[in-house]
Amino acid sequence: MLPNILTTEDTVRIKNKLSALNRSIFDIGNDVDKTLDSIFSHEEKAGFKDFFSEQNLKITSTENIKLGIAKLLEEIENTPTAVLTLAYVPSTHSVRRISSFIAERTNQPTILEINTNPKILGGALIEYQGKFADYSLSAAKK
Amino acid sequence: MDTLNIILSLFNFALLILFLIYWLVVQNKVFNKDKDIKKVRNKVDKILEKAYEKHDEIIANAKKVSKKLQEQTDANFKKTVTQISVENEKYYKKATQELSDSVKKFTQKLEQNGDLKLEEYGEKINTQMAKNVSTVQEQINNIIKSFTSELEDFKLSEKERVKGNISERIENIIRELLPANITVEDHETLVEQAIIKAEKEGLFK
Repeated sequence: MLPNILTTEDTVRIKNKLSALNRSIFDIGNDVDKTLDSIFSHEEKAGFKDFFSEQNLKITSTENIKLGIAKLLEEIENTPTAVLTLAYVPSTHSVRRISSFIAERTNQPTILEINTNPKILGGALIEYQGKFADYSLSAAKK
Repeated sequence: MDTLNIILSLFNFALLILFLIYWLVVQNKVFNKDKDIKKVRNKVDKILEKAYEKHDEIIANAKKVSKKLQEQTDANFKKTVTQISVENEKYYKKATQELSDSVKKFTQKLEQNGDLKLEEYGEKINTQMAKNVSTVQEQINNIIKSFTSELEDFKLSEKERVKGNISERIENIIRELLPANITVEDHETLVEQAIIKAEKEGLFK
Protein backbone atom coordinates (compact mmCIF):
# COMPACT_ATOMS: atom_id res chain seq x y z
CA MET A 1 0.00 0.00 0.00
CA LEU A 2 1.08 3.61 -0.41
CA PRO A 3 3.32 4.44 2.54
CA ASN A 4 1.58 7.71 3.39
CA ILE A 5 -1.95 6.46 3.94
CA LEU A 6 -2.20 6.59 7.71
CA THR A 7 -5.55 8.16 8.40
CA THR A 8 -9.04 8.26 6.91
CA GLU A 9 -8.26 11.82 5.70
CA ASP A 10 -5.30 10.37 3.77
CA THR A 11 -7.54 7.77 2.11
CA VAL A 12 -9.90 10.51 0.92
CA ARG A 13 -6.96 12.53 -0.42
CA ILE A 14 -5.40 9.54 -2.22
CA LYS A 15 -8.76 8.40 -3.61
CA ASN A 16 -9.28 11.88 -5.08
CA LYS A 17 -5.81 11.76 -6.63
CA LEU A 18 -6.45 8.30 -8.05
CA SER A 19 -9.67 9.46 -9.70
CA ALA A 20 -7.76 12.45 -11.11
CA LEU A 21 -5.26 10.00 -12.56
CA ASN A 22 -8.10 7.86 -13.90
CA ARG A 23 -9.56 10.89 -15.65
CA SER A 24 -6.28 11.83 -17.31
CA ILE A 25 -5.35 8.24 -18.20
CA PHE A 26 -5.91 8.65 -21.94
CA ASP A 27 -3.82 11.85 -22.09
CA ILE A 28 -0.79 10.26 -20.43
CA GLY A 29 0.85 9.17 -23.68
CA ASN A 30 4.54 8.45 -23.24
CA ASP A 31 5.12 10.86 -20.39
CA VAL A 32 3.79 8.89 -17.41
CA ASP A 33 6.22 10.50 -14.96
CA LYS A 34 5.08 13.99 -15.88
CA THR A 35 1.43 13.06 -15.25
CA LEU A 36 2.27 11.35 -11.95
CA ASP A 37 4.30 14.40 -10.88
CA SER A 38 1.36 16.68 -11.59
CA ILE A 39 -0.94 14.62 -9.37
CA PHE A 40 1.14 13.03 -6.61
CA SER A 41 3.76 14.34 -4.21
CA HIS A 42 7.28 12.94 -4.53
CA GLU A 43 6.69 10.46 -1.69
CA GLU A 44 3.25 9.43 -2.99
CA LYS A 45 4.65 8.88 -6.49
CA ALA A 46 7.38 6.61 -5.10
CA GLY A 47 4.78 4.64 -3.16
CA PHE A 48 2.58 4.41 -6.25
CA LYS A 49 5.47 3.02 -8.31
CA ASP A 50 6.41 0.56 -5.54
CA PHE A 51 2.84 -0.70 -5.49
CA PHE A 52 2.93 -1.33 -9.25
CA SER A 53 6.19 -3.26 -9.01
CA GLU A 54 4.81 -5.31 -6.06
CA GLN A 55 1.86 -6.21 -8.29
CA ASN A 56 4.18 -6.97 -11.23
CA LEU A 57 2.50 -4.27 -13.31
CA LYS A 58 4.47 -2.03 -15.64
CA ILE A 59 3.37 1.61 -15.75
CA THR A 60 3.55 1.74 -19.50
CA SER A 61 0.08 0.96 -20.76
CA THR A 62 -3.20 2.62 -19.89
CA GLU A 63 -4.69 -0.86 -19.18
CA ASN A 64 -2.03 -1.56 -16.55
CA ILE A 65 -2.50 1.82 -14.93
CA LYS A 66 -6.27 1.29 -14.81
CA LEU A 67 -5.78 -2.18 -13.31
CA GLY A 68 -3.25 -0.85 -10.77
CA ILE A 69 -5.61 1.94 -9.68
CA ALA A 70 -8.46 -0.57 -9.25
CA LYS A 71 -6.23 -2.88 -7.17
CA LEU A 72 -4.99 0.01 -5.06
CA LEU A 73 -8.54 1.21 -4.41
CA GLU A 74 -9.54 -2.33 -3.45
CA GLU A 75 -6.60 -2.56 -1.07
CA ILE A 76 -7.54 0.74 0.57
CA GLU A 77 -11.14 -0.46 0.95
CA ASN A 78 -10.00 -3.73 2.56
CA THR A 79 -7.60 -2.15 5.02
CA PRO A 80 -9.07 -2.23 8.54
CA THR A 81 -9.69 1.01 10.38
CA ALA A 82 -9.00 1.68 14.04
CA VAL A 83 -11.04 4.53 15.51
CA LEU A 84 -9.13 6.38 18.22
CA THR A 85 -10.45 9.17 20.42
CA LEU A 86 -7.61 11.15 21.98
CA ALA A 87 -7.48 14.05 24.42
CA TYR A 88 -5.05 16.03 22.25
CA VAL A 89 -4.60 16.84 18.58
CA PRO A 90 -1.68 14.66 17.48
CA SER A 91 1.07 15.99 15.23
CA THR A 92 1.95 14.19 11.97
CA HIS A 93 4.91 12.65 13.80
CA SER A 94 2.61 11.50 16.58
CA VAL A 95 0.15 9.98 14.06
CA ARG A 96 3.01 8.07 12.40
CA ARG A 97 4.13 6.78 15.79
CA ILE A 98 0.62 5.67 16.78
CA SER A 99 0.06 4.12 13.34
CA SER A 100 3.18 1.95 13.46
CA PHE A 101 2.48 1.08 17.11
CA ILE A 102 -0.97 -0.21 16.15
CA ALA A 103 0.21 -1.93 12.95
CA GLU A 104 2.75 -3.87 15.04
CA ARG A 105 -0.11 -5.17 17.14
CA THR A 106 -2.64 -5.87 14.40
CA ASN A 107 0.08 -7.41 12.19
CA GLN A 108 -1.27 -5.52 9.18
CA PRO A 109 -1.50 -1.95 7.91
CA THR A 110 -4.31 -0.17 9.72
CA ILE A 111 -5.92 3.12 8.83
CA LEU A 112 -6.54 5.45 11.76
CA GLU A 113 -9.67 7.50 12.27
CA ILE A 114 -8.65 10.02 14.89
CA ASN A 115 -11.18 12.02 16.88
CA THR A 116 -10.33 14.41 19.68
CA ASN A 117 -12.22 14.94 22.88
CA PRO A 118 -10.39 16.85 25.66
CA LYS A 119 -12.96 15.56 28.16
CA ILE A 120 -11.28 12.14 28.19
CA LEU A 121 -8.24 13.94 29.71
CA GLY A 122 -5.64 11.45 28.43
CA GLY A 123 -5.16 7.93 27.10
CA ALA A 124 -7.50 6.71 24.37
CA LEU A 125 -10.84 5.24 23.44
CA ILE A 126 -10.19 2.49 20.89
CA GLU A 127 -12.59 0.88 18.45
CA TYR A 128 -11.37 -1.91 16.20
CA GLN A 129 -13.43 -4.27 14.06
CA GLY A 130 -16.59 -3.96 16.14
CA LYS A 131 -14.80 -4.06 19.50
CA PHE A 132 -14.60 -1.02 21.74
CA ALA A 133 -12.69 -0.23 24.93
CA ASP A 134 -12.19 2.88 27.01
CA TYR A 135 -8.61 3.38 28.20
CA SER A 136 -8.97 7.06 28.97
CA LEU A 137 -7.91 8.84 32.14
CA SER A 138 -11.45 10.02 32.71
CA ALA A 139 -12.61 6.38 32.79
CA ALA A 140 -9.69 5.45 35.06
CA LYS A 141 -10.58 8.15 37.59
CA LYS A 142 -14.15 6.87 37.81
CA MET B 1 48.34 -25.30 21.41
CA ASP B 2 48.36 -23.33 24.68
CA THR B 3 48.38 -20.12 22.73
CA LEU B 4 45.40 -21.31 20.70
CA ASN B 5 43.55 -22.20 23.92
CA ILE B 6 44.33 -18.80 25.35
CA ILE B 7 43.10 -17.10 22.16
CA LEU B 8 39.91 -19.19 22.22
CA SER B 9 39.32 -18.40 25.90
CA LEU B 10 39.89 -14.70 25.21
CA PHE B 11 37.49 -14.90 22.26
CA ASN B 12 34.84 -16.58 24.46
CA PHE B 13 35.44 -14.01 27.16
CA ALA B 14 35.03 -11.21 24.59
CA LEU B 15 31.81 -12.80 23.38
CA LEU B 16 30.56 -13.01 26.95
CA ILE B 17 31.41 -9.35 27.52
CA LEU B 18 29.62 -8.37 24.27
CA PHE B 19 26.57 -10.35 25.30
CA LEU B 20 26.61 -8.69 28.73
CA ILE B 21 26.85 -5.25 27.11
CA TYR B 22 23.94 -6.10 24.78
CA TRP B 23 21.87 -7.39 27.72
CA LEU B 24 22.60 -4.25 29.71
CA VAL B 25 21.59 -2.03 26.77
CA VAL B 26 18.31 -3.93 26.30
CA GLN B 27 17.58 -3.85 30.04
CA ASN B 28 18.40 -0.17 30.14
CA LYS B 29 15.96 0.52 27.28
CA VAL B 30 13.20 -1.46 29.02
CA PHE B 31 14.05 0.21 32.30
CA ASN B 32 13.98 3.68 30.73
CA LYS B 33 10.62 2.98 29.04
CA ASP B 34 9.21 1.76 32.37
CA LYS B 35 10.67 4.83 34.04
CA ASP B 36 8.96 7.09 31.46
CA ILE B 37 5.60 5.43 32.03
CA LYS B 38 6.07 5.58 35.82
CA LYS B 39 7.00 9.26 35.55
CA VAL B 40 3.86 10.10 33.58
CA ARG B 41 1.68 7.98 35.85
CA ASN B 42 3.15 9.69 38.92
CA LYS B 43 2.52 13.05 37.36
CA VAL B 44 -1.06 12.14 36.50
CA ASP B 45 -1.61 10.62 39.95
CA LYS B 46 -0.39 13.82 41.60
CA ILE B 47 -2.69 15.94 39.43
CA LEU B 48 -5.62 13.66 40.15
CA GLU B 49 -4.76 13.78 43.86
CA LYS B 50 -4.88 17.59 43.72
CA ALA B 51 -8.16 17.46 41.86
CA TYR B 52 -9.62 15.05 44.38
CA GLU B 53 -8.54 17.29 47.26
CA LYS B 54 -10.47 20.10 45.56
CA HIS B 55 -13.27 17.65 44.98
CA ASP B 56 -13.46 16.75 48.71
CA GLU B 57 -13.44 20.44 49.58
CA ILE B 58 -16.29 21.16 47.17
CA ILE B 59 -18.23 18.12 48.37
CA ALA B 60 -17.83 19.17 52.02
CA ASN B 61 -19.05 22.68 51.22
CA ALA B 62 -21.84 21.38 49.03
CA LYS B 63 -22.92 19.00 51.79
CA LYS B 64 -23.13 21.85 54.29
CA VAL B 65 -25.13 24.01 51.87
CA SER B 66 -27.27 21.06 50.84
CA LYS B 67 -28.03 20.18 54.50
CA LYS B 68 -29.08 23.74 55.24
CA LEU B 69 -31.15 23.85 52.07
CA GLN B 70 -32.73 20.52 52.92
CA GLU B 71 -33.58 21.65 56.47
CA GLN B 72 -35.05 24.89 55.20
CA THR B 73 -37.00 23.19 52.45
CA ASP B 74 -38.27 20.49 54.81
CA ALA B 75 -39.35 23.07 57.38
CA ASN B 76 -41.08 25.20 54.74
CA PHE B 77 -42.67 22.16 53.21
CA LYS B 78 -44.01 20.90 56.56
CA LYS B 79 -45.29 24.39 57.37
CA THR B 80 -47.09 24.70 54.03
CA VAL B 81 -48.59 21.21 54.20
CA THR B 82 -49.74 21.79 57.80
CA GLN B 83 -51.28 25.13 56.81
CA ILE B 84 -53.09 23.52 53.88
CA SER B 85 -54.31 20.65 56.07
CA VAL B 86 -55.56 23.01 58.76
CA GLU B 87 -57.28 25.23 56.18
CA ASN B 88 -58.71 22.19 54.50
CA GLU B 89 -60.00 20.80 57.77
CA LYS B 90 -61.53 24.13 58.66
CA TYR B 91 -63.18 24.42 55.26
CA TYR B 92 -64.45 20.86 55.46
CA LYS B 93 -65.94 21.32 58.93
CA LYS B 94 -67.49 24.63 57.96
CA ALA B 95 -68.98 23.27 54.72
CA THR B 96 -70.33 20.16 56.45
CA GLN B 97 -71.77 22.19 59.26
CA GLU B 98 -73.44 24.68 56.90
CA LEU B 99 -74.88 21.94 54.76
CA SER B 100 -76.02 19.94 57.73
CA ASP B 101 -77.68 23.03 59.24
CA SER B 102 -79.46 23.99 56.04
CA VAL B 103 -80.67 20.44 55.44
CA LYS B 104 -81.79 20.18 59.08
CA LYS B 105 -83.71 23.39 58.73
CA PHE B 106 -85.22 22.23 55.48
CA THR B 107 -86.22 18.82 57.00
CA GLN B 108 -87.67 20.46 60.07
CA LYS B 109 -89.72 22.67 57.82
CA LEU B 110 -90.90 19.62 55.90
CA GLU B 111 -91.70 17.73 59.13
CA GLN B 112 -93.74 20.66 60.28
CA ASN B 113 -95.63 20.59 57.02
CA GLY B 114 -96.12 16.83 57.37
CA ASP B 115 -95.26 16.22 53.77
CA LEU B 116 -93.51 12.85 53.75
CA LYS B 117 -92.71 12.89 50.09
CA LEU B 118 -90.91 16.15 50.49
CA GLU B 119 -89.19 14.68 53.56
CA GLU B 120 -87.83 11.85 51.41
CA TYR B 121 -86.74 14.38 48.87
CA GLY B 122 -84.93 16.32 51.61
CA GLU B 123 -83.17 13.13 52.66
CA LYS B 124 -81.94 12.67 49.11
CA ILE B 125 -80.65 16.24 49.04
CA ASN B 126 -78.88 15.56 52.32
CA THR B 127 -77.12 12.48 50.89
CA GLN B 128 -76.21 14.28 47.68
CA MET B 129 -74.77 17.22 49.60
CA ALA B 130 -72.68 14.88 51.75
CA LYS B 131 -71.37 13.30 48.58
CA ASN B 132 -70.48 16.72 47.20
CA VAL B 133 -68.59 17.54 50.36
CA SER B 134 -66.63 14.32 50.13
CA THR B 135 -65.81 15.07 46.45
CA VAL B 136 -64.49 18.48 47.45
CA GLN B 137 -62.50 16.83 50.22
CA GLU B 138 -61.04 14.33 47.74
CA GLN B 139 -60.12 17.09 45.30
CA ILE B 140 -58.30 19.00 47.99
CA ASN B 141 -56.47 15.84 49.01
CA ASN B 142 -55.44 15.26 45.40
CA ILE B 143 -54.14 18.81 45.16
CA ILE B 144 -52.07 18.23 48.31
CA LYS B 145 -50.79 14.92 46.92
CA SER B 146 -49.75 16.41 43.58
CA PHE B 147 -48.19 19.35 45.39
CA THR B 148 -46.20 16.92 47.55
CA SER B 149 -45.04 14.83 44.59
CA GLU B 150 -44.11 17.95 42.60
CA LEU B 151 -42.10 19.19 45.52
CA GLU B 152 -40.37 15.80 45.87
CA ASP B 153 -39.57 15.84 42.13
CA PHE B 154 -38.23 19.34 42.45
CA LYS B 155 -36.06 18.31 45.41
CA LEU B 156 -34.73 15.31 43.43
CA SER B 157 -33.95 17.34 40.32
CA GLU B 158 -32.27 20.00 42.48
CA LYS B 159 -30.09 17.31 44.08
CA GLU B 160 -29.18 15.93 40.61
CA ARG B 161 -28.41 19.42 39.39
CA VAL B 162 -26.13 20.13 42.36
CA LYS B 163 -24.44 16.71 41.85
CA GLY B 164 -24.01 17.41 38.11
CA ASN B 165 -22.55 20.83 38.86
CA ILE B 166 -20.04 19.33 41.27
CA SER B 167 -18.89 16.67 38.74
CA GLU B 168 -18.60 19.33 36.07
CA ARG B 169 -16.55 21.55 38.35
CA ILE B 170 -14.20 18.67 39.22
CA GLU B 171 -13.73 17.84 35.53
CA ASN B 172 -13.04 21.50 34.83
CA ILE B 173 -10.39 21.56 37.57
CA ILE B 174 -8.72 18.45 36.16
CA ARG B 175 -8.95 19.87 32.64
CA GLU B 176 -7.33 23.09 33.84
CA LEU B 177 -4.60 21.24 35.72
CA LEU B 178 -3.79 18.56 33.13
CA PRO B 179 -2.79 20.57 30.03
CA ALA B 180 -0.46 22.72 32.12
CA ASN B 181 1.29 19.68 33.50
CA ILE B 182 1.07 17.06 30.75
CA THR B 183 3.19 17.43 27.65
CA VAL B 184 2.49 16.02 24.19
CA GLU B 185 5.12 13.34 24.94
CA ASP B 186 3.22 12.40 28.09
CA HIS B 187 0.03 12.14 26.03
CA GLU B 188 1.82 9.92 23.52
CA THR B 189 3.05 7.66 26.32
CA LEU B 190 -0.50 7.41 27.71
CA VAL B 191 -1.86 6.54 24.25
CA GLU B 192 0.84 3.89 23.77
CA GLN B 193 -0.01 2.51 27.18
CA ALA B 194 -3.69 2.37 26.12
CA ILE B 195 -2.77 0.50 22.91
CA ILE B 196 -0.62 -2.00 24.85
CA LYS B 197 -3.52 -2.57 27.25
CA ALA B 198 -5.91 -3.02 24.32
CA GLU B 199 -3.57 -5.63 22.82
CA LYS B 200 -3.32 -7.49 26.15
CA GLU B 201 -7.13 -7.53 26.40
CA GLY B 202 -7.41 -8.98 22.89
CA LEU B 203 -8.96 -5.96 21.20
CA PHE B 204 -6.84 -6.41 18.09
CA LYS B 205 -7.54 -10.13 17.63
